Amino acid sequence: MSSPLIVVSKGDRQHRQWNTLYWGYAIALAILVPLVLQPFQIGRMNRAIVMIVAVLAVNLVVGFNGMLALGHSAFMGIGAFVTASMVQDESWDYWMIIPLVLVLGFAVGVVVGLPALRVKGLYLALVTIAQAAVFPTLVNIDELGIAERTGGPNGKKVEEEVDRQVDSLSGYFEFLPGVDGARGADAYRYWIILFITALVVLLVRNIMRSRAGRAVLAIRDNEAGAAVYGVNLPMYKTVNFALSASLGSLAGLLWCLDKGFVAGQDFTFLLAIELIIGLVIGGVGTLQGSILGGLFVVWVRDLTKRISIPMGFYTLDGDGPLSNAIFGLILILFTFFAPGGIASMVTAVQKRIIQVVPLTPAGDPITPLERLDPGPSSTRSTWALRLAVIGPVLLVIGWVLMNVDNLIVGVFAFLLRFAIVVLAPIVVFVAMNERRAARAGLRGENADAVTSRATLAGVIGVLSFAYVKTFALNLALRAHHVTHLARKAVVVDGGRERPVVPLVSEAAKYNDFEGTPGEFCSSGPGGEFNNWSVDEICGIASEAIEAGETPVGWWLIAWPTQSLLALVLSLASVAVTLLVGFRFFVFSNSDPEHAKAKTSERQDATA
Amino acid sequence: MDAGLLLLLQRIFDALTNSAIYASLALALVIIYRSTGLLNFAQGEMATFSAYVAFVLLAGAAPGLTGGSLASAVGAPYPTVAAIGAAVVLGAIAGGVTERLVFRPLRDASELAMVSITIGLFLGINSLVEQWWGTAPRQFPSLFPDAPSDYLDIAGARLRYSAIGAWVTLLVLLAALAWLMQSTRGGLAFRAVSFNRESAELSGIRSARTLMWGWVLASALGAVAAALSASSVLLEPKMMLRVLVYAFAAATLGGLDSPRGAVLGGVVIGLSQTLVPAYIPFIGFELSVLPALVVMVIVLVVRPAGLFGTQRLERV
Repeated sequence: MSSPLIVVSKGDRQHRQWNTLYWGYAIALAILVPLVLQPFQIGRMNRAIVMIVAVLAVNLVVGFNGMLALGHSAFMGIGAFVTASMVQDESWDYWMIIPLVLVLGFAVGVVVGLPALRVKGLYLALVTIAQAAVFPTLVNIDELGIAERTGGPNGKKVEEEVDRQVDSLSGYFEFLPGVDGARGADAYRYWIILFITALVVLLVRNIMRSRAGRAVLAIRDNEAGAAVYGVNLPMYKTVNFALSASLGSLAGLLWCLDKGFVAGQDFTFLLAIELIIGLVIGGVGTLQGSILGGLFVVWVRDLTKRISIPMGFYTLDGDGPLSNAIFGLILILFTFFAPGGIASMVTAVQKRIIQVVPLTPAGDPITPLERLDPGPSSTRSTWALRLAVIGPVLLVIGWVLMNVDNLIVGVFAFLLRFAIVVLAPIVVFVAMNERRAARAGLRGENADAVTSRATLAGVIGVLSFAYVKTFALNLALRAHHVTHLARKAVVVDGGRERPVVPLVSEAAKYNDFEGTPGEFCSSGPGGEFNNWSVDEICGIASEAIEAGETPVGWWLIAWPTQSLLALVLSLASVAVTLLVGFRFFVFSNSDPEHAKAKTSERQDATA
Repeated sequence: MDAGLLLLLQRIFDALTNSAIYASLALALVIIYRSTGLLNFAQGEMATFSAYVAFVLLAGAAPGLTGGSLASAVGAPYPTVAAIGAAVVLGAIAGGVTERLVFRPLRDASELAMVSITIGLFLGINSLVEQWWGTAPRQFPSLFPDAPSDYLDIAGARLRYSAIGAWVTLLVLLAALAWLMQSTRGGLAFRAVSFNRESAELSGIRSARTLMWGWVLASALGAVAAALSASSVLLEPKMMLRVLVYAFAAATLGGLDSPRGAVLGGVVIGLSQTLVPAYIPFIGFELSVLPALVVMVIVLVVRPAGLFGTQRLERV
């Protein structure tokens, strides 16, 4: 696969379709993820998003400006403590604190950055290390009422107040079925944090594309050169650092919002190190890198904690001091073998699939697309066929691996099963293009072979995609059906009928059970609740389910309305797929002249 | 002598041990920074590791002590000085090996890559130490006579033998280092490589090997610092993290590329850590770090390259 599978010119129709698909998946996944996760997993996700903001803040200085800063734990701490104090002591709403935290972080950033940024070299690193080291003790000062506001060594708990504020949002989410109770509290937080984070990512992206952002990048690439071109070095460095500090404080605010508890020992040098790890492993100097890095430090730490490998007389246990060793090793391996982090790996894969040709000022592609066509010896159709087959094969492997009772294998299996949803649209893309190319005579005498291969690949792609979607739809329908049955199940209490489902939920809550009510029934502590035996309630519910003869997971009972949501989502995704497919097949424009006209039209419109 | 002055003298004496510890770790940091331009975050952890090795060599085959049987196979328990000497040598070798395996292949990598390697080592070594020897603090035997009566009476203030011992150790090390650097061929090569690696290579110096010796030296110094630190407080996996921060402050204060500056910085940091909380009631012992760091920031504003550091000029 020497040349990429898909070549598009920037902004043309296929490029836009590709972007729609790409961002559609990403955004839908980000927004809908709380609907499929367990409450504790949503909590972990919240933590990960907070880390994304923090890593992004570090990236502003380290990645985009090339200065080493190792003290962002302190900025996070400032944000978190200010938030805790304002929420708890002054009864402010968390969103009113956002500007305060941003301004405060900026001011502290100027104070810290100004002396250190006057000189080149590692001095910023040293000053920021000092700042990270001193912060956890600063919150314990008795003077000026600081300890009183920060809670001193005991930390400050703001959970109830934050809960109250977050729950006041529940009114707006009422139309969403399936998010209430424990899941609701975490999910609301998730969406709030996600929204703020999305704004931050957009902000950073736009700043980096602006004049100021270019100046910051120029300083990184060649400091002396930037100065010669009139960039005010201390000013840009300091403002950039202060901006980074204020984003760090915002991450602290989100931290407080998520955790509901702040303490000095949460914001030590080790947190700062974790941010650097996220930055390096995710990818320095890219936005995607920060996002991947934030997810990495939280989720991979979670995974390594569950590693337990028996090695003869000795068990390698990840949930202990060794989880740090594993992290250190990963960091070193990345620096050696993938200095660009995960982001560079993603880019490398992406480059093999799609190449976006930039436009000249006149609106034509810099290289005519025809010239990038591999010609009669093109292997694209072969690759389309291979990918079309790989998808279902991975699906099957994933299914088989699902039965292995191991968390890491389980995650891997999930990714394998998910691959087809990504691969199938690419296959259809490539197959369509190849058929068109063959028709246009670009494949020479191979035209027939190419056409047949591409057609086969396209059909397999469409069918496998449709199969997965149908399967999901079927699952959703059945879940809905079963839930319906389970909801109708009742226990008779002194002549009065009471529905089973809320009883299970309440019993789980009553017993402080951390999992879903479904798990509660299958593996829970049993016992009594409101004079009913828990086993009895669960038995009645499962009888109702067996009456439907569908072995759908117990968890569906937990949030009855969720199955309705699954149904709606499946239908919607099928509709979107059909719609996009329809546009591909019917309106897809193969005429380069037309695309060119369109582009210049758009440019006229903007001019 | 009046009581206030006596108290001041006593406090200065009390600060001496810590000053020596900070100075020796700062010296290790400076040696590595000078030769490779690298901030070594793993310096403290490498030193802690050596201290634990010394501890195992001292204790021998104690039950539940990782490596104990291995140590007794090579003749442990050793006497204190021999055990620490052996640990310093082992630490030095480990430093050289680290340079050879990890840093030499990456010699042209970016600053951030180097720093993340040292952070990776920091995490890795720290957690290995915790895994093998546990987090519980351990009593490390003192290197010098440390009974309550072991002190020198100077104008009524007590100068403890352990403080004198720490400083004698440091000064001997300094003298040895000065001799190595100024009067031997290897030292000349080291200075040449730190000054300009390319020119040094052109005149026939094997820079990679010279840099490895730099790591060996730095690791040995770090190991001595850890042994001093462990014998003045307790031996535990996280003990050098705090010391490392002070040592960084000391090195910055004196100028990152100046050994003299590192020692002076260590003294200033050690003194301010003891004296400032004592005389400024606002700053409790909790905050003893603060004054040192504020001093560091002020020095950076006034003299960006530190007190003794060389100003860097850049050609375009």
